[in-house]
Amino acid sequence: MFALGAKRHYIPFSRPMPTLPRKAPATIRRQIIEALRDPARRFLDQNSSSRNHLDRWDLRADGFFADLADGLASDLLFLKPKNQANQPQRYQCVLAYSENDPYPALDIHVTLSPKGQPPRVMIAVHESDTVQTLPRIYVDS
Amino acid sequence: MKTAKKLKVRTESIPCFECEGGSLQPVSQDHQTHHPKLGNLTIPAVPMLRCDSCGTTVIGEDGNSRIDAFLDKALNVISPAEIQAFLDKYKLTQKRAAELTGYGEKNISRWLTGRARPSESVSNFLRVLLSESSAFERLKMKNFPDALKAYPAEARQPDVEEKEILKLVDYPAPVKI
Repeated sequence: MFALGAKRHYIPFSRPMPTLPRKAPATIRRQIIEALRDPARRFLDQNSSSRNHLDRWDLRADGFFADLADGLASDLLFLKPKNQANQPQRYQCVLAYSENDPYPALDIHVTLSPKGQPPRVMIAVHESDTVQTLPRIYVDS
Repeated sequence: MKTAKKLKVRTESIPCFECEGGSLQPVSQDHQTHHPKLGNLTIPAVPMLRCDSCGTTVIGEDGNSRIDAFLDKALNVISPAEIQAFLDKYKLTQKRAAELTGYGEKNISRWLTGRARPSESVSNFLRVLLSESSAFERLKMKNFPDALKAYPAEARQPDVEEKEILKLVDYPAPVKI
């Protein structure tokens, strides 16, 4: 790759800055919060290791959903970029606990079911690896 | 009539989140998880919902409750009702309990509301304090020595247990010796 003895030149800020994901509409965010507060309308994705993260950190499901609803009431939600065109639209956010809490920041992916009324949510939980690219922005209204 | 029937079916079944073409059907499946204390474990027959078209599986309220109940039992965790009983017994606020035990007030609130699961050591400690008034008093005296001044030993009446012990003491015997 480099000629022997040649000096490597590191150019600061040479990488493109990551683009901020698009914000989800406020109506969607409110629908998700409503669904999260209703035990019959919230589901955990079994195929991902969502439930295992809760078990590992001693978080009860009820508490986790309540924390997420509280978090979304004050922080913005973002659109998750699609990998395939036929994929359902997903949303993403980071559930960050305070420094005094023993819990890690959790990367949350939300799928809202538009079919069937009232809408339901499926939540996938991951240990946060996108926490650097998803800022916490407080909602104005 | 046909439309009404169709509508009824549609409202009862939950459409799949992934394919949206299928509907979620109740199934029972083992849940495999890992807990730092318990290691790898399998929770049998957890109610879940699986799409009849694409196979996507989700865990609903019943499944989550079953997993949480299983872990609570396996970890011998103190229940929110027991924590409330501890606060009621000693007439403590959450803030006062936090000062006394050294746990965070927010943590106590989360355990009390069932949002988070206290560790086994926390559960054991709170259970001891709940059952043993003398342990609680000692902790209180250690952490709040000022409480002694407000509650002098001379003014304190022996409790039921102490009265029983005092009855058993044979005072003349040591005098004879």
